[in-house]
Amino acid sequence: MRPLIARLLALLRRRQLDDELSDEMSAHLEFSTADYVDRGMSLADARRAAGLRFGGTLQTAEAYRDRQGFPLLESLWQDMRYAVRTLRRTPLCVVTVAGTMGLGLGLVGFAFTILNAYLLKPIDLPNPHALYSFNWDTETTRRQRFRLPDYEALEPAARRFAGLAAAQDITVMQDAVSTRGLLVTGNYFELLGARPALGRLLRPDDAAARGAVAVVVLSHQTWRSRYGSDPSIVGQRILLGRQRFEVVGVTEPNAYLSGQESVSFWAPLTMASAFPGIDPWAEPDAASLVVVGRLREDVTAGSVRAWLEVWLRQRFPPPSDVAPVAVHLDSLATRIILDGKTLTLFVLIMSAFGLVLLVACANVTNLMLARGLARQTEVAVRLALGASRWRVARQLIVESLVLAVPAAATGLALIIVTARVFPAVILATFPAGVAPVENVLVPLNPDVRVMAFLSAAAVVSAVLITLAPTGRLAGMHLAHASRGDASSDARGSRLRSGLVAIQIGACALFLVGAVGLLDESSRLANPQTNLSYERVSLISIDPKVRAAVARRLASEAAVEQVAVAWKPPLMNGSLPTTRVTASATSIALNTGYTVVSPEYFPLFDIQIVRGRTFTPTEAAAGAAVAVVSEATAAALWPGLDPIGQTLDLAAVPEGRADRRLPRRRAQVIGVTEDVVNGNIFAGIDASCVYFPTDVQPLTDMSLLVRARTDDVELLRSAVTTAVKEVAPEVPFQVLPMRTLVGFALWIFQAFSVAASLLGVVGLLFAYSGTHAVVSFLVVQRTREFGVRMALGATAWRIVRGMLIETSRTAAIGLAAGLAVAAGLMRLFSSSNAILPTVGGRPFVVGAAIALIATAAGALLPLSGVARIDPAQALRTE
Amino acid sequence: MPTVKSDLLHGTFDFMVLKTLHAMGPLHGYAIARRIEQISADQLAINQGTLYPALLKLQQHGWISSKWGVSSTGRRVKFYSITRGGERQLGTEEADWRRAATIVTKFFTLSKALK
Repeated sequence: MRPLIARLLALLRRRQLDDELSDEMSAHLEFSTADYVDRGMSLADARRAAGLRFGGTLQTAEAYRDRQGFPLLESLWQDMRYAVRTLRRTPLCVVTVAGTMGLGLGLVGFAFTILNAYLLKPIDLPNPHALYSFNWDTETTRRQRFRLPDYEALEPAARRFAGLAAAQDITVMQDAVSTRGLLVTGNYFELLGARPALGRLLRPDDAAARGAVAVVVLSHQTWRSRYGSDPSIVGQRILLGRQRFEVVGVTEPNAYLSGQESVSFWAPLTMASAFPGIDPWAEPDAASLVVVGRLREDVTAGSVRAWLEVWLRQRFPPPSDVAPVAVHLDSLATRIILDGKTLTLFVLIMSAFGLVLLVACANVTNLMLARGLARQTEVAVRLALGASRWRVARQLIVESLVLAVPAAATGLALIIVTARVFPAVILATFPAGVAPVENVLVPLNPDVRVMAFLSAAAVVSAVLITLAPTGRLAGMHLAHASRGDASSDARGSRLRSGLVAIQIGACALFLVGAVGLLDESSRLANPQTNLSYERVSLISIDPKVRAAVARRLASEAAVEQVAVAWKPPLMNGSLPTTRVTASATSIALNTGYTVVSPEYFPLFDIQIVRGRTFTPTEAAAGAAVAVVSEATAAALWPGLDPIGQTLDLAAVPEGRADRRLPRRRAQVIGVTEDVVNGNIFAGIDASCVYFPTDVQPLTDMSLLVRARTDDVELLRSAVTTAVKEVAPEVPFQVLPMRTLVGFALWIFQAFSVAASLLGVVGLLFAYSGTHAVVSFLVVQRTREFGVRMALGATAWRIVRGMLIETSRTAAIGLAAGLAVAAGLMRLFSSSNAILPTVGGRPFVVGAAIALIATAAGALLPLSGVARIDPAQALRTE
Repeated sequence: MPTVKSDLLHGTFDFMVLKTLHAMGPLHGYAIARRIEQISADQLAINQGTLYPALLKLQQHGWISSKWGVSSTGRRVKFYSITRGGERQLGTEEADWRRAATIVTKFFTLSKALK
């Protein structure tokens, strides 16, 4: 420690110390010389002898200095100052690099900022890393919940927890809007360590006895939006379910757990009887509880999982239908639980944005290579003066690191601006009527993690852009370089071409994606569905009362038509498929199918082209009849009349038991026009077979209602009346298909905008990369061109030669980019139904745009070739 | 006359400087170098210049201190003197050195006896 301080102090007075040392050394030599003279030597001999005895004064001074101060740091500091001086002479270069790299860093940094906010940043509760939710998979159910007796048995047994709490989801109607709440055990908020923004949160004594304390805590969001941030809300009594509840407090804005974004209120679990839905005391067999716990500091999640597994196996031994197959402990530390799936998405998104940064680096590397060539003489002189190659390389690296500082600053500025603009854009464009988006948006302020990521990315980029110039240093011939003769270096030009190829390739890749998505979104702006869905709404309601509500709704004046279907059209993924064989032609087809009530066709105004639809009797019985789409009919019975034909159905092995088609053979009774029953992105169904059903209580199906007018509110009040009559208190939701489709399209358009942005950036890089390299080549080869022109070559011939060279590079880059794009498209279209399959158009358009940008980048500097004066060029030789 | 290689004495040089200053009181650089050479009867084959980085190191550890003064010949010189900490350090090093020397000596006598 002491030497360190001494070294630090020495930094402050190094000149004085240097002077003192040289004074000391000369005194030493004087004494030594005098001694030798005393022994009878001549003065000259004595001086020589003294010098020999002392050794080199320079070496001594060097060794002395190495002990003094921090030589490595000092030389780094020198390198840095030198770098700043050098860079100051080329401000344009600094601005270009800072802009290019800053753009790359800003984009990748912003992607990270978003992912960080949802996946990495701990939620706003004390020690969130100790919070976990527990559940298990059984043979039939994923994420099995706890019954009240299970939870009560678990609680005393769980010594590994600092605390356990349970919560149950409920939905109530508030002014015809379904509102989500959580019924929680009294210790819930204590366990989370949450603090109130107003009043107090729930306490154990609130949940001491069943039905005793009717109190409720509101979410900050609900308090703002529903109660206008009323400061006197605490103490007011609000109607929830069957009873009035006293508002005792409001939570802090972000004090909710993963998946609870839309929770509006929290009430004691003991008040369950006041709400529709399960009362865990009245129905002890209902598994409705989600259990969360805070782990003790000295236990690990792994040991708790093992213990819980043993506990569950003992409580539910194998014949039990809830015997555990897998036990889950999900960390609640972040907004979105970071599991394998989200991690994959994380890596994918970061890779796409990382590619932008990589392209930016390739762009800058080219610039650095050109700069390196221009500075070859300087480097050669330094090498000739005895600087080691490592020393020069270090200088180059330091220079890049210095360049990385303004680049990172630009990136950070970009992140900060985007973090402000992005949520505003989302709020402004988000389709109205879907869930309130404010719940899902979290603050995007760049925090320590973002800063660390940005710094790391900047350092890595700085090193990346130095690799090529440093590599060239190793192979530099001193004699050649000091003459400024570098044009014969083929290796360097191959490297530069390679880098340009990468940029063009990435540009093509981004453009294909962007054009593909843009094509789709312009097609989807006026989607061709052949369905009249504008007045149709989806009614989400408890299946138990669905049939009664459907019957009652049919007699409402505001309602034109009521239908059910296993899957609503245009959303919820593509149609399930099954293999059918036409008996008459033996043609087999993998066809999409759906199961609908007869009213489905008039509800969506789907034209029956031939034959008829199902009769009510057929629908009720699930009779062995089918309606097929025109395309299906044409595929299975070409040239034949499909009506009366029979279809053989293969058994459908996959899918849940309640969704399997019971029949093996069906008779075709009607043909419809082709519409979109599947995903809106997939377009008109390639094939579709409709099977009959009617409203059934247990099956998972969608209740669809067509209103007489466009007024959703009118329909909502009609549904409210109907539900109130047949099933009072049962919560429901009216979801206009217009809104749902709008939301799906919005997400899609958001993707398109992001992809277009990357495309534009890629284009910019491809253009500037080509431009920089070609202009550099032109300058570098001016002499050669001059000689060739003097020998009779025309400017056009030279330009053509250069163009051919550039096209070769462009072709390689394009081919690689298009291949990667095709590979990715295949990968995505097979694994994800959100992305549409695209044809060849985006590839052609993308490649063409990339080519034009490259050609423009190349032609502009090549126009300089025509102005080369052979005489002038030769004179510089 | 055979001289002692400097690498053998690596690490013992500090000890010699401290011991010299301890025995002789404040000295300037040349005097320290001469004293060490005299004690080793000119068997040390190291450059006198290496003394100065060694002095700096000892100073950084706080084992010696320096002060500018005037020599007997009237020349302005820097005098080095041992500090309390230096004396403590010298004590430790001396004990270590003696222990090490005893072991090595024992080892040599033992291997001679085994011959």
